[in-house]
Amino acid sequence: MRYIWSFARADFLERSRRFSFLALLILSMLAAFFFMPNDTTWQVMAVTPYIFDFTHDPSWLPMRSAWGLGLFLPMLGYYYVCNTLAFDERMGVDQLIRSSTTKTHVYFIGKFLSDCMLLYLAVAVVMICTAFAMITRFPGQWLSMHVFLSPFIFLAAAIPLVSAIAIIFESTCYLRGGTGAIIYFVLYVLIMDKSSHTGAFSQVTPEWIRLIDFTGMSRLYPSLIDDIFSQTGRRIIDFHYFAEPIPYGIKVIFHGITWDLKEVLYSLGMIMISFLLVMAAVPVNKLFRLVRRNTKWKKQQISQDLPPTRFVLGRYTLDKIPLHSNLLGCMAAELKMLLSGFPGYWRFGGIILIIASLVLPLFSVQSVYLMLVFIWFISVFSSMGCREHMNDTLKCINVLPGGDWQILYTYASGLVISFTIITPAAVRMILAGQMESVFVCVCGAVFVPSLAIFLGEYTKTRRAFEITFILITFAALFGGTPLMYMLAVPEMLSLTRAVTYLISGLLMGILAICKRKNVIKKFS
Amino acid sequence: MRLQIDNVTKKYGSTYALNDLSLSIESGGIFGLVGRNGAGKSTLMKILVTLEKPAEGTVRLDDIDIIKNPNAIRRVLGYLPQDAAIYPNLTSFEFLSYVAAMKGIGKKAAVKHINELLDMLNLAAAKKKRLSSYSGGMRQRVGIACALLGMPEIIIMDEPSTGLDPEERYNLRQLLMELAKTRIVILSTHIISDIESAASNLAVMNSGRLLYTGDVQSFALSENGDIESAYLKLIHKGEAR
Repeated sequence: MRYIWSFARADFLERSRRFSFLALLILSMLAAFFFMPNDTTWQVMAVTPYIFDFTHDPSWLPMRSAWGLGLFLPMLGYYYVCNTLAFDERMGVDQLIRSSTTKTHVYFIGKFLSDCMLLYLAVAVVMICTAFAMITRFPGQWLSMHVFLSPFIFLAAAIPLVSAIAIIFESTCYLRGGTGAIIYFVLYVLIMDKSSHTGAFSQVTPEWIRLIDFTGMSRLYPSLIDDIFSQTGRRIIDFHYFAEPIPYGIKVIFHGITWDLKEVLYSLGMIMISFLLVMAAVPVNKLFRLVRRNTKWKKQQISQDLPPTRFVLGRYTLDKIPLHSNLLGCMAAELKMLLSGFPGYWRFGGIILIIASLVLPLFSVQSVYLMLVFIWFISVFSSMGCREHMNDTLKCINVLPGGDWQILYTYASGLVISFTIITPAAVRMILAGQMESVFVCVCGAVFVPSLAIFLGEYTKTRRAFEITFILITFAALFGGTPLMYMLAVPEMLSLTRAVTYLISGLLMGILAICKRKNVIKKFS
Repeated sequence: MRLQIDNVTKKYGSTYALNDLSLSIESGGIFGLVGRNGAGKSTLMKILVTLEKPAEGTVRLDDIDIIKNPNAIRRVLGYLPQDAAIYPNLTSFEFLSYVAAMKGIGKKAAVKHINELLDMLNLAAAKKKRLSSYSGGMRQRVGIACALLGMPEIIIMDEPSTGLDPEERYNLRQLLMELAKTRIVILSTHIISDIESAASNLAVMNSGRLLYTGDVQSFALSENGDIESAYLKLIHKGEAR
């Protein structure tokens, strides 16, 4: 136990001091505040029938901030904790541990605990902020501990599962980075979709979902539905996001989440599954290490098999080779670079997804499909702007004659990839005479690489874009119409929105180039 | 070709990395740069390759001020930084092709030239393997190949022999000596024996100042041909001042 605690503590201290942890806390708080009922502007969560007023009573503040946290923390949290083993490998800590007497499962449990502690800390910070919000918005109106705490408790069992998934994905070295991120996103959307219907509506949710529901929604929704039904006699039939507040709606109060034995057992089951996943990560990691070591050994053999040095200067031309500035050559090299390093199945999948937009129903393509295709290419875009910083190659590139404008070539290559993704769909829209839809797609296609290069250059990491882009896509898919940067259905499109995305995209692109070229520094 | 460094000063906060340094480097023979850690060698190199700008002073390539016109030197420069950086997911051939494109080497010429460089640096058999699978020495050789792409007229290398085995170090020295006959080759190192066997001129730096500049032979002769003793004596003398 002492070893486990030492690992967990050291890892927790190391990661909680990073700037990215502060960013996680801020984003969690924003998600929670975003969901709090507000009678002055539009509200983010609403229920159908659209007749209830959630703004008048303080009991909705903890409930709604926990709801927001439950929606976003499992996703944000996963992307924050999913690089802990890789980080140790990069820093060499991994080798220190493996060469000591420490057992791998002790190390993994330590990591798992540290992940949980980080995410629980984020929940605690949001709880404190919610308490402050209550004091300022409803002075003198105190809630019982049950009403305040019970909405947050459903996350207690969800967080270990998120951490365990991160550990097992990392232990299989092939699910690190982009591939794991995409699989987790798909898993998250599927679970969210299933759990959102628990206890309500026409759809029947399978019980087992409760055992793997790391969003906690399957615990929260039934309680909410029952609570409102007991007060008003009206049943909630659906949830939706983004709505105007209702000033004269039926005033309802939240009485806290009710827990029965079944719920407690489900929560314990979830914690047990998390623990088993962490334990399973140990043999899985060993197996994948073995596979990787064999591959590496083969590679090392190559260097051993090299012929003995035969250094004869006369064999080689040592004359200077003439240089010609070649914009297209630089761009082609950059494009090749952006697309390199991906496995064959990924390329094949990408081509199939792009071609599929020729045959799928045009409505689906224009509404959500194109946005989903962009998710497939997230690792391509996320390397824009930050690749040179991450690999420390900037000092090599900056001294090359074409290196001055390398970021511009990256931007142009990103745009080429982006336009390639939308081209088949755009051709269909042109043939259908929907020129406004084509314009919306073009604006969206400019926005994605611009956001990528901006965040990449300023944060010097892939994660910023990956998290932001997944959040945007997620929020857009779940009803956040203002975030649908590529909503090209003729009846639903908004040219103002498209132009906003285009202008903000171009602005971000220019800012990224200025940052790399030190223009901002020179002016300041 | 001649690099003329005049009264260059560079400060980081209140610490002088270079303090009123003047130096002249000409083609024909390797120019060695030695000194302790933090002596200012890397800063000087960064200024020469236009990654940093001095607070004061000028650097001229023949008659062109490279501080004002950095592209003048970039067109004829090959640079190996202290930690040769690479893209781990690329093969050595892909990485060098990328750098060649950025340098402005035509595609056909680049393929032939890269193959020749890889062969020269004993990497030809591994050219289709990802750089992540390379050993430290192999990565260093990729960095060297990167600096030699286009066979530039000015070659600046910071600790090039790091991670190389004795045979590869010997090969590199031979290659640089051959190249230095018609080019400016500046070599920064901690390994005095590299300077002794390869360089014709050297500069000894300490705390951003120049303690010695001149030919290697005269420097060694000051201590009966023992260059290491001459170096240590000079450094300690510089410190005592």
